Amino acid sequence: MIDVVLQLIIFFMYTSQFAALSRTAVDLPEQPGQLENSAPEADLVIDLADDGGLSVAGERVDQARLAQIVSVESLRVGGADRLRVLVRADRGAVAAHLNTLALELRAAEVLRWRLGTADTGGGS
Amino acid sequence: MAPRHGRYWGWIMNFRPRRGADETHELPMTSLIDVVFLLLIFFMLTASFVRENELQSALLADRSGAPGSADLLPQFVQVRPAREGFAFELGQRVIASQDDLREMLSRLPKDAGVIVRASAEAPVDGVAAAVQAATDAGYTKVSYVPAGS
Repeated sequence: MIDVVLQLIIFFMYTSQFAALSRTAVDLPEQPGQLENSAPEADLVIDLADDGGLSVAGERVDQARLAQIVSVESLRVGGADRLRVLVRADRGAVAAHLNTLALELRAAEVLRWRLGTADTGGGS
Repeated sequence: MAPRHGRYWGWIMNFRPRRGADETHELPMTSLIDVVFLLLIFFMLTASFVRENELQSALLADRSGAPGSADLLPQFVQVRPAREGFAFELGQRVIASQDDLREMLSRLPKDAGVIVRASAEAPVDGVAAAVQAATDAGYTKVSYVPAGS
């Protein structure tokens, strides 16, 4: 009985991490980011690989599919200006890919987004 | 209906330990090892030593008119590729390091904000460094303008 209960607890603890695990592995720029860590959770996380490939929730998407996803998410949150977008760009990618993505977001009326970084200094 | 006292109910509610019963207890090691290994696997899978943060950025909107503080122009930082990876241009000056850029930006007026722009071949690392330097220098309005817009 206690085995079953503990296994259920572990199962639910594990599945609660799926949101973070769905992000693809991206070598983020090593910057400390903003000091105050009060940023709300992003509604849409876009991963930008070093070859310019785009991924959303672990799924590789093209520009048309991304525009569709952004449109759906904008409707869900009540407007593109309310959509909180996090761009996790690989540090090795060239800015041309980031520029393309930024222009696509702007075409979708998403004018504010955040750039993901990785703080590896000192493990703070 | 049987009365709530007497021999029958006394037998049911008798919680006293029986004398002479085997009182030796053993810890179920097999179950314990199972649970410990599952916990170990869980923490091995979920452990992460890299903390992800975010940098606030904003694109300039084409529809926006004159800036709010019309007397001031935003600082303009251009990120370009360099031999060491990337370099920054602030006005006519070429700045090689992120610390120097932060130092230079901290001396300039901050009301109008900073515009960061990157050439096509500049690495994203440089863009993040420029936005980070502006944030560390105390700017609250940091905008990234994609080249070609």
